[in-house]
Amino acid sequence: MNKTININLANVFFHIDEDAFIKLDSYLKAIERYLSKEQSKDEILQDIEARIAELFTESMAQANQVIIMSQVNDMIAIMGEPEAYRMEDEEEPSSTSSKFKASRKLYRDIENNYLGGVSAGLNHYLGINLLLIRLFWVISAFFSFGGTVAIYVIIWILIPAARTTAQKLDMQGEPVNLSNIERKVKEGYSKFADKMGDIDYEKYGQQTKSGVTKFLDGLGEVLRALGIILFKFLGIILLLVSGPVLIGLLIFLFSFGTLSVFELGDFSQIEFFVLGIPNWIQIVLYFLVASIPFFYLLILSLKLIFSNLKSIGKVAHITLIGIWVLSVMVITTLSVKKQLDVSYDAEVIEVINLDISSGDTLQIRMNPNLMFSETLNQSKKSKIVKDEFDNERLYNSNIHVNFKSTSDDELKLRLTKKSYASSKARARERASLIDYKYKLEDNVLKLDSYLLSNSEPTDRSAKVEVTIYIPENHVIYLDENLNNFNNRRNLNRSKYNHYLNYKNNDWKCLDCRTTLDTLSTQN
Amino acid sequence: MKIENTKAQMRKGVLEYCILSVLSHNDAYVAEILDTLKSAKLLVVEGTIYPLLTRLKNANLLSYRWEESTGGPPRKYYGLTKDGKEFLDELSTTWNELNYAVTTITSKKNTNNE
Repeated sequence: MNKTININLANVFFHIDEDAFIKLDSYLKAIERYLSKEQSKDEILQDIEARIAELFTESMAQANQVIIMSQVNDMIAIMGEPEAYRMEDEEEPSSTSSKFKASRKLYRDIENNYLGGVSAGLNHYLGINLLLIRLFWVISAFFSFGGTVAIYVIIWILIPAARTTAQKLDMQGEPVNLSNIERKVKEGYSKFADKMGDIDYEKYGQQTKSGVTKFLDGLGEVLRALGIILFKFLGIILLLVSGPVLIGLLIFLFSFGTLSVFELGDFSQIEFFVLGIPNWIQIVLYFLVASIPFFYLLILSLKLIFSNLKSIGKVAHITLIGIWVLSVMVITTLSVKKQLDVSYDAEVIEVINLDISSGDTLQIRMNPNLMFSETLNQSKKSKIVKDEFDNERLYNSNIHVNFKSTSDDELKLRLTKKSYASSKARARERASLIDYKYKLEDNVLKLDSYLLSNSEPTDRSAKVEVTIYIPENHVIYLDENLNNFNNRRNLNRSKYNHYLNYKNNDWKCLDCRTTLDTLSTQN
Repeated sequence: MKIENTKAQMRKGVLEYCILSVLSHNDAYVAEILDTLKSAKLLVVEGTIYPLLTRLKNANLLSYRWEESTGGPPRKYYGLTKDGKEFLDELSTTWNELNYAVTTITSKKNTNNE
């Protein structure tokens, strides 16, 4: 059983077997190539088509019979191989390859191959030294950590090998370089101009094509030439975008998975990564979601540049798109789940009375732990640290310090530990697990600048609010390192490192010089 | 130098002359011209003739008209133009001279060889 194709040959309708059609098509294209220098190429081809139609009609025993391979072969035997159409004053085919006007097409040259013949094919296509192309692949493979190897394989899969003579001719056709492209545009234009100036209805009246059709043909040729350039240009830009991005993504994948080429630090510091599944799965998921679209972009760009690209096949398309959709779904589900995980909050509150003698000055300062962090800043960012018992703990410095004045004589500390989870009870449990310490030694209140907890990293960080109830008339000395942890609305920066009174939620400086004083001393 | 090339060149050289000669008696369409040329064994395959006909037409030596055919596509009937007739006459003269020259030379050679 054979699939048939309907064709119109010189306005005669034929059914033709698919394989016979392919042969006929390549035969006509080969003739076209040989005739490409001929001025009246179209007309000659019409004549040839008419003759072929005649031969087919003669060879058919009955109407509506299907043209089969043997009829095409008989026809070629009568008409002659494409070489026979060459005119006598043309140079010999062996002298130069540039006599074929058809542009080169990229094929894998499987006669000069090391691997897939990609380099040899590119050598024909671009006219760049074969050794240089091979060196490029090898060297770039090292620099891109195998990224260009992936691109090599993609080209290997997508670019067909030159097997038939026609394909080999195409492969060695006119080099695709700038001067040739320019010449093509000029040719297209002059043809167009010819046809425009030539619209002679008497002359064209005899022919099947009208002047208007000729005009449109000419215009089409110019537009096609410009379009091809535009497409190739677009293709190159897309290739320059998608290629490096894909290489980058591959590096990202492998460096996070195994090599750790770039010191990007601890994952738990990067909130974006936290999905509650093993890191490598997350990385693979992010890689797939990001790289599959760029892979398609790469294919698109290659398709624009090299018109004869193979399809990667239906199965591959479905698999890739399926994987992509699945990855997006998994990431979305996990993110939503993660969001739900922190949808409830709960607070655990402790109130502590601190013993201080009423006459002494109370100094308040933050107490950093250099083991965990170098800087003394308030931050919601969590990271995993090792405590003094070598246990892994979740660390952040989300500490908020507030002051309130009280008429009581006692100094009070109110600690509010706040945490988030998927239920009220779990949030409360997490909050109670928050580890926050302070020390009162020799009338110095040292507040830890961080909290530790045992829970997993979550999207919303645990928080500790420290409210200090200060008895009125008590002298307080605030260390400047409180500045980053205090909400500054009622405390001017200049009040730090001074002796202060706190009354009616207002700070009074006891040893500050007034602004005027400062100015006068400076003078 | 390949013998095939030389043969093909010799044939192609006289092909124009022969086509014009065929058409000097009456108008004909491509298949008829081809039949005559093939029966004289001047042409082996048909392909060569199409570019040639178009060139001759473009040089105003030939003209054509369309004629319907039974069961096939319309046919192009070629005929000689006035220019074509003059061209053919000139070619005939040249051919006769050439023919005489070639015959004389080759027969002399033959006699020399004997």
